[in-house]
Amino acid sequence: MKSVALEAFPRAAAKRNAVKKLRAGGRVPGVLYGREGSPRAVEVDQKALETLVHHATSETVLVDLSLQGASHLALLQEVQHHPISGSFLHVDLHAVRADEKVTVSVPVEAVGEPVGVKTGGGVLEHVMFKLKVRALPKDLPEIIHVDVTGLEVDKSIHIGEIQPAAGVEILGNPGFAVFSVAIPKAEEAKPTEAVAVEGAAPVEGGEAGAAGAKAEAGKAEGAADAKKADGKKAPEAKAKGK
Amino acid sequence: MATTPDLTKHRKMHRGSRAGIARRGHTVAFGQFGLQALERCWMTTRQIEAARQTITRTMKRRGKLWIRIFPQKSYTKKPLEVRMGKGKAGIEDWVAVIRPANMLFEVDGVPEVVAKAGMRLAAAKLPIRTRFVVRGRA
Repeated sequence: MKSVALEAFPRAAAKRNAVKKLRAGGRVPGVLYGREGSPRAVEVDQKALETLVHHATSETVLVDLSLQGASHLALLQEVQHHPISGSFLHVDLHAVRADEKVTVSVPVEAVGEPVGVKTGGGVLEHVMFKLKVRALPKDLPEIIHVDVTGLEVDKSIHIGEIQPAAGVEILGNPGFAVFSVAIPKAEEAKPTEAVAVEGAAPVEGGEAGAAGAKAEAGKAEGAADAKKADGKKAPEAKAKGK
Repeated sequence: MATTPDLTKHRKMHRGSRAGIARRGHTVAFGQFGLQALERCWMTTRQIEAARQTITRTMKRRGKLWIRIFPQKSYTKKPLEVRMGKGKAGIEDWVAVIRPANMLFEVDGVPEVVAKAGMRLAAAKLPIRTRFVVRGRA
């Protein structure tokens, strides 16, 4: 992973109101922490961070951070976004050493279309979107590509089957599935009803048939309720009449 | 699809608060595409089911759908022309409390065009404004 330059400034604003003003002024609050030294409150330029994140494959980016004239190698450990607007709220910068291995979550991407999807009618399930890897900062992959073309129905690719690049170690249980191809369950259940009711497409008809049956049952229940209600109301009416 | 909880500790609940925005359940966590709420509401079982059916039918035999919300909350309503008092009324319906940013549905295994079409039709069945979101795309 190549490191990208980013400039940070020391931050005095720590309370909520002050940090809000900071964001309004085009800065993003953050924190720089690591094994050496105590955590430091920093702020970075919003546009610079936007450019950095949008040009990267994932939000785990190696940055060459310049802070008060000193240079730090750091990882964008976490970027917090606003749930609706998506704007940056806070950034965690993890200071690392170039000669020390770090553990980072890296996104996994499928390459190709599985045989099970092409011919078997299955669906490719992306079970794990990120994998934890351990490597030197310079060896960290931006993304892990996994070839899934040979994957058949009801088969999976596990963590243990993924071949990492040289110098990279994939962590986690080797038996955990990352990709699998499965037959969709919802479509299997109701084709018989569908043919019997409408002769339409199995899934839609099945649902329509089921809905129709429910509706009929509902009507029957409704009628029963109405009768009950009539029975209950009658004495009241009599009482009022008196 | 289950439309009500199997068991609740208390049948009749307080109205509660719908204030604020969703701080949990607001990201695309399972699939590739999602439908995100932009307003707040009580979403009923019927509305959720109608949207679900629409998405399923648009996707036809392909893909996978996740329903990220569930009607956990019951609400009561007095019948018409009934005087106040005499205890809390019977349960009218079950609803999911939706706040802005809540992820309502997620799909995967279909092209973006299909997912978008399904979500658009489903959104028309819902009482609030929503937006189509893609994993990793702000």
